[in-house]
Amino acid sequence: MLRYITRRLLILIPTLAAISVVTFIVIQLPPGDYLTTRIAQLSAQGDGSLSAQELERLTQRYGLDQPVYVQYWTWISNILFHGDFGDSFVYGRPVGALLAERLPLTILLSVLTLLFIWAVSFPIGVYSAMRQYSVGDYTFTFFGYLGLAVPNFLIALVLMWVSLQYFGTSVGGLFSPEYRDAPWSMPKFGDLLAHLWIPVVIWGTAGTAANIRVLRANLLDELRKPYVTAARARGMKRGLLTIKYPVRVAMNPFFSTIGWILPGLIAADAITSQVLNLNTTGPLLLDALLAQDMYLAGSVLLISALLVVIGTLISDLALAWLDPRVRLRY
Amino acid sequence: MKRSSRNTATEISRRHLLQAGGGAAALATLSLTACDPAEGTGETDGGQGAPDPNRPLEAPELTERVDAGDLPPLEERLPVESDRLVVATAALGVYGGVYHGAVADQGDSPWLERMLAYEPLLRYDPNLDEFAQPGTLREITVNDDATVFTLHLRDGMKWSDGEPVTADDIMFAVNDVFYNTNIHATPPGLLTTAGDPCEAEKVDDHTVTLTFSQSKGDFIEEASRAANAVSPNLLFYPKHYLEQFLPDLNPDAESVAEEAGFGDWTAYWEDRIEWWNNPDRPVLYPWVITDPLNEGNVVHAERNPYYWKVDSEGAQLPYIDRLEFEIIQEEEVMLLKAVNGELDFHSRHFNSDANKPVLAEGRESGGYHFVPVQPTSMNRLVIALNLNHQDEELRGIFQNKDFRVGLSHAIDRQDIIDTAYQRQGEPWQAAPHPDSEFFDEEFAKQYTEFDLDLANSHLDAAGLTEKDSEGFRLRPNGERLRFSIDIANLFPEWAPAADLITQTWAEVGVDAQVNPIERSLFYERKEAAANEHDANIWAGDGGLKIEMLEQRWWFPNGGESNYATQWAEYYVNRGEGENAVEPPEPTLRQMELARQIPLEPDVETQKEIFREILQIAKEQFYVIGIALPTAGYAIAKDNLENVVESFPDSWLHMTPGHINPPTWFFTP
Repeated sequence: MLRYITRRLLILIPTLAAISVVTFIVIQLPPGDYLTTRIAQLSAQGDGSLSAQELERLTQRYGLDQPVYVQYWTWISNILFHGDFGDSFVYGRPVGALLAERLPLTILLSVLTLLFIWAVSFPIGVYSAMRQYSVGDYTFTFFGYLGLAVPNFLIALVLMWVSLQYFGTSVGGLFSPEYRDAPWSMPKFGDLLAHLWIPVVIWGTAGTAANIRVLRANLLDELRKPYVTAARARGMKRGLLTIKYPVRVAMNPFFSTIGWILPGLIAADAITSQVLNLNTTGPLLLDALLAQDMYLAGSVLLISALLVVIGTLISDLALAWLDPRVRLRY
Repeated sequence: MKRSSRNTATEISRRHLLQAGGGAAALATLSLTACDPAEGTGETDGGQGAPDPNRPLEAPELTERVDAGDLPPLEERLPVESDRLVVATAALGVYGGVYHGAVADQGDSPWLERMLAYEPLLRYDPNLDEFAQPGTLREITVNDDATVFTLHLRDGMKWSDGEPVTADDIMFAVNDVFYNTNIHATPPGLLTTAGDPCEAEKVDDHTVTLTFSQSKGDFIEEASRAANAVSPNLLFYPKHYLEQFLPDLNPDAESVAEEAGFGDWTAYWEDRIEWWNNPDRPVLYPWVITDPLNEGNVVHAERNPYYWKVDSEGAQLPYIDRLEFEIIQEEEVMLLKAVNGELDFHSRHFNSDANKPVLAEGRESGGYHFVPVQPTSMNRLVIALNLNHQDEELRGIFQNKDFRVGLSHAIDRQDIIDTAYQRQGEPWQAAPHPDSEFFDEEFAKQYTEFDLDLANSHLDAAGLTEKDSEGFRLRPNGERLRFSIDIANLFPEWAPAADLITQTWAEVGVDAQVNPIERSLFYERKEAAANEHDANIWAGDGGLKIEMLEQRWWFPNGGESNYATQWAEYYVNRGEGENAVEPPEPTLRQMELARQIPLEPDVETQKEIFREILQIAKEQFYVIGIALPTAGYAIAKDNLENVVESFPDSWLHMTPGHINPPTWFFTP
């Protein structure tokens, strides 16, 4: 087991090195650079433009006139030797500080969403499997597919409109204007809840649907296995039996998805966050990519890649703990 | 020395102040005379009877701070009485309230500049007709041949931290900032004439002279425009704060920058001067940033206790206590907020034709109304064929005027207006707006008639007589004449309009393809160095109120002249430059004339020269225009007072800065 973990950790190094190179190149692939994007944006909004001399000066200042490999080395060597992810062009602030500002909310939302998904999908999944092809099963399946199929940002827009039209809630962000700067109080907490359910439900819908389907399918497989029949034949109660054995086996997907949560913390659901105007790391990444703010985008991508790798490792370990069959394969 | 001939407002102020010794009566008269009558749409000071003696002259929150001893009294915070800038307001306001607004993201800092940082040296009137009205400077006087300008500062004016504004700040801006090649590659246009930088001299604490080697006829006009990337402001840099970041004035500047985590001092300097990201930096604005744009998700600004403008009764502006801009990246969300009545005033991002019905529907429940915005542009879209095309043969075809005229006749403009623009507009070439003093009907209407036969005969005359089996015209080399039109994703109407254009062009045998691309790619392709575009579409910027300032469609004057960016480079770099290509004789003549304008002290003569430039533009017919734009709109809450009834919009004037947001207030 220890050998396994060590091996996985060692593989991490070349993987991350490769990822860092690829992300840096991919970010540079679109035409232009941060400054051309900036100029295009200025002119599009009718805010004038930069003179050629000014442009040249800024190009030098940002080091955009250097070849890609030099830019890459500046970036990666600072990360390796100084733990410094560089400065964002757009914000003019260190990438680390920008991420730190947005992480608490991102983590809160991700964790709440995960709990929501588990809380909803577990009972429904078990129910659907036990009462296969019942009215209830079809109903949940229908809504599950709907949640899976409709793009999150669309649900977001619709829910925002609904909450504006029928509840009169100020849309976007997590607080109404009157509470934004107020100290914490019960009404402020209530206001937070009134806004929080929207992103949680939106992100939850897709995840819930997937989890229900997987749990249902796994459980159906298990329920037909001879050991279930045997246990039933020996008079074991159906409910207890199901919970104790087949459900335990069918739970695997719950643990294998833990690995996806970690990167989700960073990249979040960028577009939904953007639409809902949430101050998470998702829109930060989206904007950085659009603006070709390469140090910011590169660092966010690198960190999420790191988290994917670590998350996968963690979920493998969790699975091994849960399921002896997995453990024995090492 | 002669007073600037256009400086009528200041003449009056001087005379009255001398007569009345700077009394309050003179200030009231000044306020009524100095500002354009168009602004006084409601009641003016005179209509409201005697001033209320109990009306506070400063915000209650400031009175509290004065009483607590945290702040000097009002008299000491304002400039001396004769040097205060009196702003005429439709109604006298009451203090208080919080303005709620929105800002898109980091790249949207210009919106903050427009809303709260409009403080040019001199000002235009709100309707953008008259310039040289008093601004941060009391006045600028000029000698007869427009070579020596005397800048008069306001005695007792203070930066937002209470430090006095003096001639040293201007000397600092000129010598240490604008002439510092580490910060500005070349001195800005405002301080040069024919490429020669001027010399600044401090006369006393409140007077500076600028001496130019040749006439600088556009100095007062440019000084009357707001500060941004293209129009530098000599009162933008508080010396007492910023000098610490310059190595010339502080030997430790480099280490200061390093300590703050910046690579070198220029990076730190650029970071520190961005007032929207640096709350420590003193400003001259009505509100001072407290929560910057690059932190958190709301930008806050609170009133500047040292603001130097007063209303006609001498009460210090601004009326509104605080501004809040929520950072909202998604325009749809902003739109929802607007419909919900959460934005007090907004004239950007979502105010498109397409969104107007939605906003119109929400007016009553949201408690806001529309404020018509006069466009300063003259066209919905302008088609620019690349006259500098890389391909010699295509270049020849595009440069043939008959070809362009033929294409222009082969556009059904009325159909485009009806289909893509809700029947709003009028067929129009890239020519001055009908409300412009340079309006020329012939220029505006030439070749706008939709006539396929006429189009065919022009295209034939251009030598494109051979056709292939599908009826498309052939180039001299025997290939089909085919090119693409780049469009950026800026206005949703452009794509359908472009489709309609290419359909009718196909009928006269010209095979053009619409190429919708991302904005930065669009820019990348049209740069003089790349020069990869065949043709493209952009809006018809300029043409009303800013005719002489925005010249991109009159002749190739910069990177935005999409039809000839290489000729433009020839102009910008005065014949030099890697990608510069010498333009033909008539274009050269335009460039020569354009260089002549600023050297001419007299405004009327400047206009005469400009008319000749327009005349050549009309003959050359560089680009094809489609339709005149109609008025846009802003939204304003019903309880927000003193907002003008309509206003012109131009980035050169940082709209809505010139309509005086400091005079806005909420109905109590």
